[in-house]
Amino acid sequence: MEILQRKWDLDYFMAERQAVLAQWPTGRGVDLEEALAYHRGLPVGRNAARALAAARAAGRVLIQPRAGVALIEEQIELLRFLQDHGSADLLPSTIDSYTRNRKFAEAEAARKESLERGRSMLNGFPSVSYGVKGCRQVVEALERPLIVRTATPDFRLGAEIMLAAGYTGHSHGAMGDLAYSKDTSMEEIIYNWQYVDRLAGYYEDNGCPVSREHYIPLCSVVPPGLQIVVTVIDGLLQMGQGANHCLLAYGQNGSLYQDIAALRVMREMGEEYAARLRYTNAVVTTSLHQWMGGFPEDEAKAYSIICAGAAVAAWGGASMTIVKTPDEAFGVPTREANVQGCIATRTMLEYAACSAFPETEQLRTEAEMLRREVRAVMDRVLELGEGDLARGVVAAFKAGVIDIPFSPNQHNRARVMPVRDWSGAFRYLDPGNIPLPATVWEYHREQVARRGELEGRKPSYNMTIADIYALSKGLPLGAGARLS
Amino acid sequence: MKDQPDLRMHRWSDEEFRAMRREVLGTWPTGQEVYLDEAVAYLRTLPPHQNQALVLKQALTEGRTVMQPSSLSDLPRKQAARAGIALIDEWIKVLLEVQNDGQADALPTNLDTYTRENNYQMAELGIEKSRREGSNMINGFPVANYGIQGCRCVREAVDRPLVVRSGAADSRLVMEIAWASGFSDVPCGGIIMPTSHHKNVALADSIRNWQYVARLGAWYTEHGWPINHEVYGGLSGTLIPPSICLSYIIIDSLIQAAQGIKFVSPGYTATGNLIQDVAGVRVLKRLADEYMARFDFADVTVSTTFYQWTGAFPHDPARSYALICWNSMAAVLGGATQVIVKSVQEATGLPTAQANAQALRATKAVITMLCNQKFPDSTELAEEMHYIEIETRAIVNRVIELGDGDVVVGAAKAFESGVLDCPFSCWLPIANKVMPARDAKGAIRFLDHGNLPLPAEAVKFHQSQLEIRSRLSGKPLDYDLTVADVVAVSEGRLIGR
Repeated sequence: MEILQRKWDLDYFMAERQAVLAQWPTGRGVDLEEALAYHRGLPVGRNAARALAAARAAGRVLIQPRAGVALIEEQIELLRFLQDHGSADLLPSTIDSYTRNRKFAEAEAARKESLERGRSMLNGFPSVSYGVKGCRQVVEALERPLIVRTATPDFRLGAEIMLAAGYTGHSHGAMGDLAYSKDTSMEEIIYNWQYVDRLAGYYEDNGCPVSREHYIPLCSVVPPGLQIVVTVIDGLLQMGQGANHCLLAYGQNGSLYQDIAALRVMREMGEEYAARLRYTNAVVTTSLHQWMGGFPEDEAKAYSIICAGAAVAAWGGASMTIVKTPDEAFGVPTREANVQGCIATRTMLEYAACSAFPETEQLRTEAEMLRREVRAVMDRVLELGEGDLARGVVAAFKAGVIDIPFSPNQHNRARVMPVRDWSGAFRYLDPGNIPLPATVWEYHREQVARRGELEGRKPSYNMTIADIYALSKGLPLGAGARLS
Repeated sequence: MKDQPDLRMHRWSDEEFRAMRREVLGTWPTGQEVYLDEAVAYLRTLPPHQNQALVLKQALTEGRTVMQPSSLSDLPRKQAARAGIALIDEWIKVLLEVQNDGQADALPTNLDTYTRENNYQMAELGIEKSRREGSNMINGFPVANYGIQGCRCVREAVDRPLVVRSGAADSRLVMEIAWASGFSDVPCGGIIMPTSHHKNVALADSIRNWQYVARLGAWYTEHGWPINHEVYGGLSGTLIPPSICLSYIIIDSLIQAAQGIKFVSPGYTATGNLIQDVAGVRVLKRLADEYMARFDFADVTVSTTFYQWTGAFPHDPARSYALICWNSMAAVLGGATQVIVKSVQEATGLPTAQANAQALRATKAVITMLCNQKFPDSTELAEEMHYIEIETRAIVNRVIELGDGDVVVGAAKAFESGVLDCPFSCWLPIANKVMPARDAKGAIRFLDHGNLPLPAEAVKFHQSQLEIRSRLSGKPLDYDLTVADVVAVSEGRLIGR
């Protein structure tokens, strides 16, 4: 199967849809015309794509927590609590693992069991089991835009159902799967997500924008330049299918200046390459995912990570931030802890909005190095695809031009080794086959060598091991990163 | 009071100092146990890392920011009752928790209210009652009553510099005992303390009492145990424009330095606006050094202290943590030598040791994260620094002028004429004509500068900044803005609505 970047022909898409909707009985409940009418009837403020574009124009940062439980009533109650007490701007529905893996029968059984026991037996919201009608109950009960949160190689049916129900934002894309999927080929993953993007594009074509969000989960330990490359690729893939509203998410890594620089450069590069590929209607916004790795059990340190994340979101020009909670280390947080995370974030955003982060030399250099790296890799990808992005991406993975450290995906080369430098910023210890410009590689080596001097040892993978080990104990902010 | 030293900026003669010492040490029996020679011999046995003046000097040299919790309480009453042991041991436990779990670089000891009021009799009754009932009946550590013996127990049980947090108008006896026991720092200020904490105190008394403390500190410094004087800039704790804070702490630093002290750490209080706070700390360091040199105190080491928000705190931990982290960023980016750390229980009363340790850990995380980055120069920062500097110079120079070169004399006159003034002070004699409000970016401006001798250029700047807020919010420039701003931070915002 050859995958190309061009927009799917409408007839082909509609034919594909029949197969997807047949995957489970609730698929029959999807009526695109009815769905469009419903979307058109939603107030402007209830559309995630429009809310994000407005936030960007106003320089505001929207807040989104995470939440997903098995029962509709509980899901509504939970989201209402976050809406009313946490002043969340966007409301999530995180999907359970069965549904993500298309084990719809198991999800249905667990949903029934949850109903009998009166408590959630699933780790998320089984949207496919509920179908359009059930999902729409959630949309109707709340006053903010609703967002699908998932991560899987194939969420086509779920996307059909939830968008039809009135969800206006959908997370995840092809590149994000590098963290979740072992065997699925790049071609298949891209194909499945092109479907979702084409669906979003269909809504968009009919005047109902859908926000498509991209985040590469493994990127907590990935040098930011690489993170920007793969996230921007996901954004360009969606634009190829006519989905214009693109939300590029960056994962906080704890180095304040690197996080701010990366977030800024991510939007810049998203727009630069959208223009290069002539997606002139693209609306690019960015999001900051507060630290996605292990959290400290110490509430105080958890708050400082959350607050640092909020500051990065504000100073990096994000239009949204996904918040963590002070209870993160202890599993799925209580709704109260979730609200606390939202409030700390909101407070920090209020403060940070009053003062810009200083344009330090360190920040400027970091941003410039990121630009050079991203352009070098992106240009190589386009070259490999002979102008076609999708083809280029597949070839780039084969060649190791894109290579995600620690990805479980077999089609990833896994030659790259990251390491933190003296300041806690992520660098390449070994860039593998990534075509890093010489100046960038030199910069990385200098910064890592400085750590080596401070620690009195030569830079090696032992440092990487120490960094990974430190991650399991919670985000070590800044220079402290290298000390644990 | 014929034999009191003249109220001016001279270093007290040995005779003047000795005469007052006799009087001070006679006010309570533990005063009789202070022998300077014995004290110096004892202090020689203490390691340098337990001395705050030396710790701050080193941090200043290395460009690091160290932490001190702002106020410690005893253990919660119920716990103390169950433990049922002497208060000194309880106190040591609190300090150890903050030292070990909070990684505090200096340990404060807050005085109880009786001791602050020099009512040692009542403090003694409080101690007896606490012992009898196995519960803590006083709200701080009665340094004078425990005397050298008790205080050295504390000194020997912990491994960080010890600071007396006083706030009193008269802490002479307390400091006699504290310095002799191995404490090495105190927030102080003869003109500051009335403005900050006292309704009726006579300015002359407060100035003399703190001159005494400085004279004593100088003696210890000259005899090998350097004492740091953290000149307290928290004032009324409510919307203090930076130039008011800086004027107070520079004047009091000069008054203290005249007694011969060699280590001073003026304490800037956070406004919550990052640029303004960075500017404030920078200008403070520059001007403090400059005025010290101008009065021939160039050998005084000036480090800077940064107070996290001294106004009303939010009730919930989430907002409080955000405020603490935010202020910590400003402290580090501004290059403050020391940050005074609040806690998430600030709104409800004296924090527990655990709450203090948590806030210290959150602050430490921010200090580490910024890894000593400093705020670079920018037009906005330069502008802010410019106005703080010309305003502070105008006030301080006017005080010097009023006193004909003597800042003690000048300060007394300055309060009468409102050249020195502070919003929301509880001190009755103060002019109380200044009214602050935040501008559109949350910086604290003068809505009314009263009789402060601000340059016309500065007055115009403040006015124009406030007008921007007025225009954006559609609200008139009046007292209602100030009222909204006073409560804003406790509600999780910087700017009132």
